[in-house]
Amino acid sequence: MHAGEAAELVRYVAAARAGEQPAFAYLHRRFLPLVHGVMIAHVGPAQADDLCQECFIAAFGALSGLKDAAAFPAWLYRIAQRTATRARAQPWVPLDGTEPADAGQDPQRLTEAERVLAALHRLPEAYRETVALRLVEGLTGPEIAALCGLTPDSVRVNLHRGVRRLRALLDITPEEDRHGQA
Amino acid sequence: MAKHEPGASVERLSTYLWDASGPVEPSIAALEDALRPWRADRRALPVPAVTPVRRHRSRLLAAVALAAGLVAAVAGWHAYRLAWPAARPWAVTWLPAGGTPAAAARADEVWPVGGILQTPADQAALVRIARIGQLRIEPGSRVRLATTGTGTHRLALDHGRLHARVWAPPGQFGVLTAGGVAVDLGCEFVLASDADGRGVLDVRSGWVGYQSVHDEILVPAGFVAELAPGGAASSPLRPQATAAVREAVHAVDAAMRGEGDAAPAAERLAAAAEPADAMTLLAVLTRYPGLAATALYPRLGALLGLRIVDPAHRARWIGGDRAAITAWWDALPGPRPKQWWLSWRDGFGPLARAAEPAPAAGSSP
Repeated sequence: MHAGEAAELVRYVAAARAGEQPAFAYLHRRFLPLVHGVMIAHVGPAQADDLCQECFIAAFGALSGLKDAAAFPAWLYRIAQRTATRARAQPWVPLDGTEPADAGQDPQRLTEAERVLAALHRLPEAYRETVALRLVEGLTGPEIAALCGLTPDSVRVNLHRGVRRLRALLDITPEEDRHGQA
Repeated sequence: MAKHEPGASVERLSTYLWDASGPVEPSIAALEDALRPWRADRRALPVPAVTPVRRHRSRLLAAVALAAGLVAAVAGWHAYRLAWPAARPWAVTWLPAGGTPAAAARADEVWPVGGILQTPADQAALVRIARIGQLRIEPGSRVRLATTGTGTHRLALDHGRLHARVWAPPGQFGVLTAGGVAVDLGCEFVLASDADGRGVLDVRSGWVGYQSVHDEILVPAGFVAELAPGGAASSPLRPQATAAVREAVHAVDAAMRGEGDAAPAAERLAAAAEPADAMTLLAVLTRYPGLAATALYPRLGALLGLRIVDPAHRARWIGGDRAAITAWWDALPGPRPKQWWLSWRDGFGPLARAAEPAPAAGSSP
């Protein structure tokens, strides 16, 4: 995170603490991929949506207890992990009582999406969140490291091993795709 | 999510998988495309309606409510302390002479209104003054409980010595002697008196007022008033006051009762007074404003560190102007007589062991 972005984040966290709704909207918009990526790594899409809201409600309600505003992303990430862990230990009932349908989605494509997500859920937990943040939410490795408070090497290893396993689960042969190495 | 220690082998992966740069890796792109329906930006999740300020506000309200509750509790406790049913007896605990409550010979005796409590030579009595304080009646004393009830508690000390500690608004507790009445102004004091009224009033904290047929004086903590038969009280003196100061104060007091010339005694007092005697001089000049015409006035001004630039002030003092006198009282450090609550320590803890009154010439109760 650049110094300017960090300063901007601190300002928005301070504004959210003061109860300014635009600040909540900014923090929600900016960090929703992080929170949603954690949730979708562990639960189905509809439950992930509910848990995202639950996570943000908990985080915004506890903002006064956050001592270092610059640490907001990693702090939020831990809240998301706790929310997901707690949710997985309980039988889930969607907030609106039904599993929402993804209207307008091509049924064949939806089936493929569900198949790949199911494979992602079969990954070892150690890799699941990193892979979800990269492949579902589109975050880069450096972004994942910065947001989650991890070292780039940790993210790199998780990505490499997680995607290799995912390919194996989906019977994808990677060799013919590889064009460059980082 | 797994964390890897620095120095662990870093596995190679495509730049596209790492940061979406470089040539697109088809299998990765295919996975991204397949998972795209689950992306957060496709889920249209609204911002949850949360207002942490309410939490602050509720905390503030809780703090205010707690503070209000504490204030109400303290006020209730204080009102309870001051309340006492009319004529309800006081509790008495007998002690060996010089003993403490832990060594009580027997306890829970009551002392009714009108009752006389007479301590033998080898026993003292520890008494609860309603709920506002404690009283220790030393051996060889005779005391009568004259009246008790909310706001007014009075003893009559026929002879002997007592040590009282009270934390209550001024005037609630008082002790009558043969010569006058010592009235508590929120304080701790030792009062000794014989059957004729000769004795000493030794104030340990706060202030005590002493009223007699002659006049009324205020005695602050750290000072004593020597009581003469018939009720005449000396002006307040430090127990450590020099013999010269003591003699001069007695001479002034005697002269003002018509037993001699006050002016020479006032000059001697002014000459002998030390800085710590400022209160004595202030009390003398308050009691006898006319003596401001003597050297006592400039000496007191010097002791208080006041520059005497206003002759009109001295003239007003000589004339007994209360405002002029009060102005110099205000220059004196320490709590005022009406600030009884500052002696809050007197409301807590046990009464100290029996204390002899401060040595004072002429006192032999």
